[in-house]
Amino acid sequence: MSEPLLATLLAAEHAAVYGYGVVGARLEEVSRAAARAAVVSHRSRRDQLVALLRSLGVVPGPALPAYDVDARTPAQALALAARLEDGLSVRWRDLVVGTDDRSLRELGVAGLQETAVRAAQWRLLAGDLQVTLALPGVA
Amino acid sequence: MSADLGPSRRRVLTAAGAAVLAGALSSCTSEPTPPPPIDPDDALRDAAVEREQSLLQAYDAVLLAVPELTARLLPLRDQHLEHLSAVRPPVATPLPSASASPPVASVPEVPAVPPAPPVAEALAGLAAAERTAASAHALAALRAADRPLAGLLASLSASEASHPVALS
Repeated sequence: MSEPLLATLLAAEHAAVYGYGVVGARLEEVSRAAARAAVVSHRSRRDQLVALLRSLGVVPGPALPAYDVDARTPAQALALAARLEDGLSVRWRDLVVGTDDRSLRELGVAGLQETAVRAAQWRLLAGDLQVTLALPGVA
Repeated sequence: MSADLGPSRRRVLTAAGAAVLAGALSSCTSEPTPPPPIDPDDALRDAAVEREQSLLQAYDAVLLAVPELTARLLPLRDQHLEHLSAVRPPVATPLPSASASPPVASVPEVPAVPPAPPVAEALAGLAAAERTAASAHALAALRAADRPLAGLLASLSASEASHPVALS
């Protein structure tokens, strides 16, 4: 029952890993370490979702060759990174709301927290006035 | 105590006990009418409200003591107000009167002003309080039977987990 949610999440994590490639290429050196850390985290969530789907007998969807993300300046890269995280927050929250399974909910809450924290970090680096959201994951 | 009970007395007591028990059992359904069981989700909501209120009080205390942090802290404080009304929508709760009990967030009972803490210390204190609340909200999200409530608590948890970013 939660398989479609997990599949959607996996697709979103694939997109995030790709998106951070674009982000990292445009960021200034000072912020690049944060982007590298973010990619590591997203890859690990991606691999976790792949394993989870397999354990449920579902063939995990592959990453697409390319995604429609663009950033030409460091400022755009920071904004894109925040957007990627905000988008993922929605998916992780969907998982929380879409299951009664305690371990899946736990995963969803952890994913939601991580993405909310990273989105705030990107907005802080971008110099935004409003760094945090009142309700992360609420589209 | 049971040592001084003679056999005859014990028998009497047992019989009496059985009678009392039978009476209690039969009256259970009719007389005392136990209070309606508390909805566990309601208890989770109450606890979340308490956490938000005490965070608001913590912010108010720091704002009072370190006014130069106002611009930085007010946006975060506002988000806790949003949290509060998301958990307990003020309009939706059919309270008996609008005049009686004051709205939860509006009257923070700020304790007597303590000596102003250094800014870094004040921020670290708030960040720690945020993290503690984030963990508690996260646990509550796992326990909620109502899925939308679980989602809300998860969002509160994520918001509060992210607040220390703005307090660093």
